[in-house]
Amino acid sequence: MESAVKTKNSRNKRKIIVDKIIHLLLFFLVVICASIIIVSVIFILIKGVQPFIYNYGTDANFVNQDLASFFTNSRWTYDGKGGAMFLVLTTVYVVALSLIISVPTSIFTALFIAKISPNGVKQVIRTAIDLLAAIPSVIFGLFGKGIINPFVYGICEALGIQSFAGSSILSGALIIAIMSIPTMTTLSISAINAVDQSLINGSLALGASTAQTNMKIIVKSAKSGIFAGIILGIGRALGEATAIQMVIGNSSNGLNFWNIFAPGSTIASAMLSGINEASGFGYDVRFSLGIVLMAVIVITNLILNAIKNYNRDKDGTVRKFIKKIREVLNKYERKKSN
Amino acid sequence: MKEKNPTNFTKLIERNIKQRKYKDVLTNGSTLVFSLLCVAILFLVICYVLFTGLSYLTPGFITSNYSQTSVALRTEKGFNLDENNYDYSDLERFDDVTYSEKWGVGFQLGKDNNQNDVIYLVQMSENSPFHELIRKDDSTRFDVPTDMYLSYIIVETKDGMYETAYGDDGIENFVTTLDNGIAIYDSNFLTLGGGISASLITTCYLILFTLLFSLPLGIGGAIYLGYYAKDNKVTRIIRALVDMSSGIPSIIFGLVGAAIFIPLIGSMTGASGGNIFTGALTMTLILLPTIVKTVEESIETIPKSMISASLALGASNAETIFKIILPNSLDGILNAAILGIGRTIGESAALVFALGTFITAAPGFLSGNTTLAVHIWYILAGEYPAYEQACAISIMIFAVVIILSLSTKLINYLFKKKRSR
Repeated sequence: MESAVKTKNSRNKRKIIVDKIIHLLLFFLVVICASIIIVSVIFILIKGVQPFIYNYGTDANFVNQDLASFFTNSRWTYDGKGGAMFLVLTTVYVVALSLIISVPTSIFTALFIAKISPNGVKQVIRTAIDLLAAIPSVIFGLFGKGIINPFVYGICEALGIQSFAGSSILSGALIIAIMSIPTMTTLSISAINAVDQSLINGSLALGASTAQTNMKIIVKSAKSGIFAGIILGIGRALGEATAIQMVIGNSSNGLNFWNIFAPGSTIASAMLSGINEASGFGYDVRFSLGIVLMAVIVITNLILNAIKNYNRDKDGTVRKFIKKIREVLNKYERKKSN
Repeated sequence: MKEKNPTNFTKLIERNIKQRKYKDVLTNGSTLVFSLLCVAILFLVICYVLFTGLSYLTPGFITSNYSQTSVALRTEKGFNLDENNYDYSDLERFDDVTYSEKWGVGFQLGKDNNQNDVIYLVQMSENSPFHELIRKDDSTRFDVPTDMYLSYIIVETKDGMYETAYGDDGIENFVTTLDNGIAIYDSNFLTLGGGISASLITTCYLILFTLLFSLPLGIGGAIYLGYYAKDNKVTRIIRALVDMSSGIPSIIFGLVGAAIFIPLIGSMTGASGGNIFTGALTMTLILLPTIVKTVEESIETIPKSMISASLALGASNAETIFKIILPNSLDGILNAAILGIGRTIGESAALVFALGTFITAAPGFLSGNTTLAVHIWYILAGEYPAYEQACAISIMIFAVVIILSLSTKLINYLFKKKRSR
């Protein structure tokens, strides 16, 4: 009897030890998962700062990235005097252009899937959106190079504009638009489905037609969810590399980025293009571009989230912050006038 | 005047209703148009890829190497076909093979990976002088394998002249010219080039290792978050960090892979650049947040009563994890694995940095390799983009992606059925 208790006790003890080990192991694993982003950011910062500090050339011929021209130069080159700011502008410009197509398409498609279409059609379009989301970006790049570039070239021919075989900002924007439609649509669908049914019923009871209800009640009350989807889509679009690198033409000259028929270069496409031949400085400076890309994504997300929150809570931090800035400016002006 | 008003009013309403009808049709119609646009884009992508690439997707394309090896062969000096009598009776005859009776070999018209007509050497008699061919450069014996094709052959005729037969002359002309000769002065045997076998094998290995690295990590993290984690500051920070890393573009993770894993694996094994392990580790970074989220979601759907019952019956936490949580979150794990496979097959930007773009002849674990997606990127990056081959690879990727997304739906359906029982 006693020995049975003993073995039971020892078994319990072993169980407890195993329990603790497993607990610790799982905690260790989750810490690894969480630390990935920290380690990644640290390593990219270290590697990305190197081109500004180290000498990549010989003693006589000093080669490193010039900090001043990194912000001011209008060309992206690999001789140490390249400027990245035009890449940033082009990236934002391309994504903004793509939104003109992708936002209405996503909202209307989501509305159609969630509220209008009959069940069978709904399944077909839903599956199409899911498949579109599953297509790898390199295949979109192939599609862009094979179909969209010739299409843009045709437009240029018709308009009599000189073009670089169709590789242009416009093609990049079209590809980015196509690629961000699935993300935006999927999130918009869940936002639209989450709209309170009593709101819809109320609108219908007041005599509004279903179409009016869809546009004026559903889309309006799902606004913040739809906006969240757009933010996610923009985040993906900013970091998209392969597809856009294949269609945009990778011009190192940033000055004519406003011309949609001219070739351009985004941050990610500049990181990717010419990687096969890159070594030394030309390779390491891509990490500096990586820092710029991360900064652009973080800043864009902050701004968009601030806009999203601005309309929602009247006493939000953003309003307070803007109020404070206004107060400071007013004080400054008063002082000046005094 | 007073009698006119009501009719005016109803007219106004009627007009309003008419206008509203037009507007409604317009808005509903535009939602339909935009939805059809999405379907049309998908249709266009699939059609383009299928029509351009399908005829190039041949068994030879899948099994052959990207690089082409060629060998120049000739007969030994002083060789004269007419001086010897060869017995070619062992040669089995087929209808679709054209035979050279003098040389005892059979040729067949085939296609190379650019869909050009080429002439394959498909049959050789045991006694054929083709077995005695030597390399033109170092005069060593070279036994011609039957999977090579001929681009041209220069024969020496009886009267000391040289005649050239080209592969694209047509098979009859080729054999006639060959039969005119008494010795082979020069010839060019080629293997099929432009194939994808190495990239295909590398992709499979990469998927295997990626799942091997990422699934244990991701499932472990998900179990901690779904089972152990209390709602405190540490947990919230961990969750926020995991969520944040899912928003980072993959090209950034490619840079991380190049900055951390290539030197790390290099110092451990002596590999000089990107290899399958660096690629798999980088893919692990990209996949982890998705895997953690998918598995955790599935853990959260397990009824709390089940876990409580297990604990109340005296099972320890570890036993509950292995006997209750893991089996019941199988659908999440399978979905995570499928997502991982899909992302690994399609990923290109990160792997350009972390794995490299080097298309090899023989895939090795520590040498430069590339996956199918990067292969597409590479063959399109040059001055003469090979659209057809890229589309042929895309068809394969498409097929896998469609199968995967269908199997997720099947898994969800099956497990829903099982749960509801």
